[in-house]
Amino acid sequence: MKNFRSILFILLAVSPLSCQKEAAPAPEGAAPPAAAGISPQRFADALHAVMESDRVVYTKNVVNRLQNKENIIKASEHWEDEKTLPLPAQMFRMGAEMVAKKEAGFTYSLLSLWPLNKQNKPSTDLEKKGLEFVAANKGANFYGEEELGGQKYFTAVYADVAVAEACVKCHNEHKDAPRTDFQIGDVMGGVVVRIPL
Amino acid sequence: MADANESSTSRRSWALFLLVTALSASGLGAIMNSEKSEARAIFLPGPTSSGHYQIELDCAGCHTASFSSTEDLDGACVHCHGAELTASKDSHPKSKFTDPRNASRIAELDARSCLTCHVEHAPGRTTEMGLSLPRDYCFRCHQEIGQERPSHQGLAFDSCASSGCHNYHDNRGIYEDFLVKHAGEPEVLSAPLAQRIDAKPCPSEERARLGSGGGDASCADCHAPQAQTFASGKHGMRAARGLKRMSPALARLPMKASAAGHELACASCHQRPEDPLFASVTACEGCHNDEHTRAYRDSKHFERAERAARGEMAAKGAVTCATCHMPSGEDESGVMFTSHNQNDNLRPPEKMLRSVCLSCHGLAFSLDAIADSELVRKNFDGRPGAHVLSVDWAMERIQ
Repeated sequence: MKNFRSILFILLAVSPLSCQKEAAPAPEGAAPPAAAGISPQRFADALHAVMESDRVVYTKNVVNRLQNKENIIKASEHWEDEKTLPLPAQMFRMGAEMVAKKEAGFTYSLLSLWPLNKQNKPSTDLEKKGLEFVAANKGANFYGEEELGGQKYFTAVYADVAVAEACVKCHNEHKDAPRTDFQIGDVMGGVVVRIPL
Repeated sequence: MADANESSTSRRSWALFLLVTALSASGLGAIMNSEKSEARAIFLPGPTSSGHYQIELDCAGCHTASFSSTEDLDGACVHCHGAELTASKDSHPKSKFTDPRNASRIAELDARSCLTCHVEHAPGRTTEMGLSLPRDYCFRCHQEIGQERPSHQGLAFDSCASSGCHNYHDNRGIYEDFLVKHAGEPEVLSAPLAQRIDAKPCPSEERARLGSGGGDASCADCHAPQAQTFASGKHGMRAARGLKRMSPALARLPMKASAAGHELACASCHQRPEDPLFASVTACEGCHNDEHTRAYRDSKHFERAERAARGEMAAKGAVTCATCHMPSGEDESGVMFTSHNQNDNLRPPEKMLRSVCLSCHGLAFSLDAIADSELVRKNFDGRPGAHVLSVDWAMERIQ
């Protein structure tokens, strides 16, 4: 009986009877293939300009002001449970995850050579090389290409600089801190933007 | 002449073969596509998991646009479990693994798809939580944990998901800072916080409508979140998919033979509003016949429920079956209601910590209690014989 069921299952799985719906046609107005009007580097630079600006605004004008200057509300990792503000790094990552869900044609992440969460250390050779480069060459960006999972990517790495007291205080005092001597203006990590080629 | 006869016989045989094949195919197709026919059971390639067996004949519930595309099957998983995953602050959402930087991890364990860990119709390799992968899967990405956490050195990777330690999706009640925050709490908190919502009797005109055959649909008119959660749980998931209502005869858990033919609807439990313990205890006992249920009336939890029912203590201090298995929560507009998905906070059991246990007990005591399977069987009549080290380890790291 079991064999009979298995055979029936296989027959039905490959039979036209099992196709209950036809494949949907391509939606009208779908984006045309990428035009050659903008280079991956320029695209990545533009994306990073937005990311960096939002990140600095949130860190300085929201977290640092409300937590460190005006003592109104704290920012903490478990912000929902503790009724606090999300940490700037969490704010950045929540945006990155939402973009990832939208499959927007690029991905980005916030990484460091000295991460509090070890999952945020470099995981590819190019990430490591890029993070080391931006840490050693202040003000310079790093660009390269890499192949991951059979797909080629243009990968850009931008320095992530400590812009407020909130950044260095939290990272220097955290129980998982691998480095405790950060000062405002130091490169603490990097933003990695990837665009499939 | 002989050749002509042979040729004619051969043609007839082929015609007969084709006719039988066509009739069989159309017959099987009719069964496959018929609405929830019980005859569909012949197509099942193997028993489904405890979470899905009730609805396994609703083939198209999982096998949607295409029969076997991973993407479509994943979509069906998310259709039913997506909101729950979002609410659980999923520790391993798909979006983490679609990032190309995790390509090497995907090669080890493709965490983009639900099916990597949860394959159906595979009873031989399916364990708790519908996991069809060997339990040491954390190893694939967290090999270095022993270096990062000295307390974890030498621990077997199949022990990560031991009660009170880690879950793949839902860690809301056991994340490290939460353990620290609740460390040092007494076994029983001085002011129990259990929040029960007293069931309000239906207005008389509504009861009349129910009596005239309105049934579950009438209840749902006024109790939408209760009806919605009932449809998601094991009491209502069959009816919600157009299958024959759930009855104890169809259950895999031990049930009373006397209740075998009873079909579950709102009125199965809600039939004696004047009895405060009927819907929350007596109705459960009417069907369930496992050790945990049978031991309830010997427990301190029942003692409290009885005292509250007699008016000797506040109702919020009572602990009935429903207190733990149907906790109260907020609907989308912030209104409190009793969840009628009685499986939800058992998936995993640690989910019960925040919604139930911590209302009255300290975290460390609660962790020990739910980790002791013998104590769970005895319906918590006794003291925990197990000790979960997670709170101790979390405290060591901050000292």
